[in-house]
Amino acid sequence: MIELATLPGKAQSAASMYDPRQHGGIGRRLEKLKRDLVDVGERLLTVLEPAGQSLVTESARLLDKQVCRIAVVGQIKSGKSTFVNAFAQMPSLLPTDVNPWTTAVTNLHFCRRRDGEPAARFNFFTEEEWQRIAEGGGLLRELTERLVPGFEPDLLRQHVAALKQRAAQRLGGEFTNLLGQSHSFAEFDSTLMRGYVCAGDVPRGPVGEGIFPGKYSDITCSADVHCDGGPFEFPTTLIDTPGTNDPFLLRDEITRRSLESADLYIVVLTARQPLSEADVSLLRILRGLHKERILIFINRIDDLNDISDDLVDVTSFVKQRIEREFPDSNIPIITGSALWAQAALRTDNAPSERAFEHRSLQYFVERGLIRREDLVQAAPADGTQRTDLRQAQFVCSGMPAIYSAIDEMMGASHCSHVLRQVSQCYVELARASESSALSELNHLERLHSAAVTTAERAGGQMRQIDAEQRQLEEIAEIIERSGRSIEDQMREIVAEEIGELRAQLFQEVDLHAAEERDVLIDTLYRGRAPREWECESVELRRCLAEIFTDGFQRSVKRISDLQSRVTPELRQLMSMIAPRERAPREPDWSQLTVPTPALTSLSTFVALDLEVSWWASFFSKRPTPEQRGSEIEALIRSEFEGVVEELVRGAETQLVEFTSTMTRWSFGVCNSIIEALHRRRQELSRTYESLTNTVDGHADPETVQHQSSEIAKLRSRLARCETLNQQLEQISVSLSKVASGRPGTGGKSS
Amino acid sequence: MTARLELTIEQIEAARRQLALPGRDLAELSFTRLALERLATALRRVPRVVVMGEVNSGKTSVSNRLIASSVLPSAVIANTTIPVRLHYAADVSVSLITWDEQRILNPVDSAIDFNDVDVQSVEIGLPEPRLKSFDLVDTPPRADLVALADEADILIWCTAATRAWTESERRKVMSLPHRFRRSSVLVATHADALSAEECDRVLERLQDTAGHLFSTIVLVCAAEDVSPALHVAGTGSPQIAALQARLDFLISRFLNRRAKVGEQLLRRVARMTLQSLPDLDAVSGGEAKELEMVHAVLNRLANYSVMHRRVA
Repeated sequence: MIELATLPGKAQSAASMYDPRQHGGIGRRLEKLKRDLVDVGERLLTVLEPAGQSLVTESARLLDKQVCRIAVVGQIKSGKSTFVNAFAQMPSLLPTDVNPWTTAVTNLHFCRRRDGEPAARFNFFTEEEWQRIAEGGGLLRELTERLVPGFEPDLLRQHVAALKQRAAQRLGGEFTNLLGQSHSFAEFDSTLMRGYVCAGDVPRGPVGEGIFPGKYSDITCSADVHCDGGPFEFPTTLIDTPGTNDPFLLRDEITRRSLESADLYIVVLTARQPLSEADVSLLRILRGLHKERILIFINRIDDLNDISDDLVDVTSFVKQRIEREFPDSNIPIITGSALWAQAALRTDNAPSERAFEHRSLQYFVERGLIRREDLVQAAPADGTQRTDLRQAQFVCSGMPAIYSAIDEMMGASHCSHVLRQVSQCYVELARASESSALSELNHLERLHSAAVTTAERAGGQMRQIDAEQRQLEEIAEIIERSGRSIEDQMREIVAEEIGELRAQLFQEVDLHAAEERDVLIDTLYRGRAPREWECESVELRRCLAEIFTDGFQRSVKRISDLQSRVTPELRQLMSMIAPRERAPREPDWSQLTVPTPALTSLSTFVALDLEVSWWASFFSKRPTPEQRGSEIEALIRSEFEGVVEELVRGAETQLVEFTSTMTRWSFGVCNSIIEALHRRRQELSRTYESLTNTVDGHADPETVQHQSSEIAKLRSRLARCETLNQQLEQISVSLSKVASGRPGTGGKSS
Repeated sequence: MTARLELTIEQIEAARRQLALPGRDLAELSFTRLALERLATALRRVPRVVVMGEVNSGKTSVSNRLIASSVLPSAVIANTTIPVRLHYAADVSVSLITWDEQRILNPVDSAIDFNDVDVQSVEIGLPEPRLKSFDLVDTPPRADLVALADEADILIWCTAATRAWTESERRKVMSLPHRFRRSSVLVATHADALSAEECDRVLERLQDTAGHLFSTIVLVCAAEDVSPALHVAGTGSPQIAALQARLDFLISRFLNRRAKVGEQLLRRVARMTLQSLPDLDAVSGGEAKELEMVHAVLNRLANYSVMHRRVA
């Protein structure tokens, strides 16, 4: 380990000048825009009718709920936990070790804490989850156990038995009483985390009473931890996972099940073994489900022999391979070392030796971040890190690049899309309110200026108003009826499309299953029988995903077409009611994102064991290739039945939500206009009635005063609408800048 | 080659010589002679060690260390798809084997266009003393493991100690023939990246999770530089020495098993031949004398065992 000389006098003041925590501000722009929207919403409430007000309250609730979920995935030992620690600027929070260590899915929540919520909560498996996992889990395994005795259930059962034994050893024989519960804490530290989410060592001998590493890890399903600080300014959840490709099959299973649909995925690779088969199949599945929001981080570059040279090779290899696998995908690739970041973040004076290895220092010198003459073989005075070394470590660790990449991706994520929808809705409402206020004002002013009216004119006008009112009622009825019929039509379309989608997906599955069967039969007939027939289902999944997206987009188009037919009708109605008003701006319905069904499994293989032991062939006839073929066909079909159903369910939910949102929004706007006009017309008719009762046909002074106050109110309301419209205009411009990924103003410091 | 094997081969050769003359008339003996010849060849064969592992697991570095020479290139991104077989030869020789089973000797000298040649594998003969006791096959990361394993006797599986034993590796090893369970080494490479305590914990975990698939597990640092001074001893560090020692042990155990099986086969061949020969009573004169001699030779073979030999 090379020790560094401390330059006289410089070290003390320098150490205080660089703090890696100054980096951050992820989601700052988005948060500011969200707050602006909430503010606008509050002020919008004062100028709207009750129908519009409920929309605003609902939108405000939606804004409050927005969270960006970032999942960190990758193989075991790729450095995910260290990375999450460094990313969140909390070194050593999540436990790490030289062996695969993480056992549960840990959710780190930022900027989301509500009063009364515990800082940390660890959720245990329920009885039925435990049972399902204990049985090795999954329809596939059941089938293979039945069809192909001796497959792998022994290994799984061994693992399960080991798990139960370990849990009993660590928690006592009554540990099953703990299932289904959760432990909450008001504070947390790394010791607590170690007790729940890391594997710990195999217990040898009796264990103590207090908390020790891995005590509850066998039964902990997930952890929810609320953190203060960190680099985020928008509500975010960072998700650390146990890791795929784990020979301890249960942990692999846990990763697969617990990974819900996140908004962004950070795939962590190891520099020494980048893009192995397991990585590629993970990426394929993420991509195949149209998870466009992927970022690749090549970690552990400190492990390379010659960092400067090897890094170039590794990066270009990964880029080429990604380009070949996913052309035109623009997946950002960032290299670095979470270990360096951790060393730079530590405030205690006990950095890990690895970060100071000769190789790392050599690399920093080559990058021009440290001067070569500062590397001298001398013992450091008190172990304080030099500031330029700290800076070098943090810059080379890749964290600053990750922060800005994530900030950009957040700007284009689902949350930003929701913000845009809400702002559009507000614009609609504001405009509608403005238009109706304008028309009322016109009427009132005309009325006001015609202070003197004769009784006949008043009577005539009254009759006119009555007629208008009746017309208005008719129109209101028509709108309601059309609304219902449109709803029915949409429902029909949804049902049809869903049925079609389901049929297509099943057809594809059958096709692939039949193909696979034929290939297997052919191979067996040629006498080239491998011991185990593995069919990687990734191709089929990709086909399914394609069919699904195409089918879904078709449905969306069909519904949008219906909507585009409906909107002119609405406009016509509007012009009938209020011919002088501006038609409200048509919202952009093409913004609907394709839904992302939950990941059912990340890397299952459908595999059939073909080996028949020599003694078994004495007792039973060797199965014919056709029998084997139909076995594999049945396997594939049943395995994918569940997948297809899930996809279809997801599509259905999304479509139903979409159609109901659309109808609600369009008619919400109309209804609020109608309501406003209806009320005003009633008031007007009352005014006219009072007019007819005035003496000498002169205007009743009370009425005149009432009118002028109404006019004043309307004027101020108009002014407010004007301001709101301007603000909303600004907000939507900023939102589109953020969404397109251009660097905005007021960004983070570099 | 162990002493036991040598004895057996001697016996076989002696029997072949003795059976050569009378064999002209006895048709049954022609098959026996063929069988004996094949048996001798099989027993003489040098054991084959195959080195496998996932991408960038240190296979090539380990191969280099095992033969105490740095002939194989290793780099951080290695895209080789061609296996390399190393055997002992008095002079350095290189041959390319194409997919249609043609051999191209010394390709550098011959004027062939490498783009036209579809190379299946490379064979290299080296005058390295360690290769006298085994042949080595260095496999490319994306090879057909089962096909390459079919011709091998001893397996060395490399994995990076910093990652150590994933599910994909386990599946691959499980797909290999069961006979490797008793003659295989799991080598965890890049041990220089770990502290002593970490090394212990990694070894413990490997023993727990992979111990049932391998005869022995070793942790090594197989860095690239091999200085000439180490050439003779063949060791760069105590870990490498341990690996070589275990390999030697596995080889000798393998050879002993082979010897035992060879002896069994020899006895069986002899007995089967005896059963197929005509009875002594049925023949007379000069033929009878020949037949008697043949019977004697075969009887000796049928009761052959090394222990027996020593006593006699």
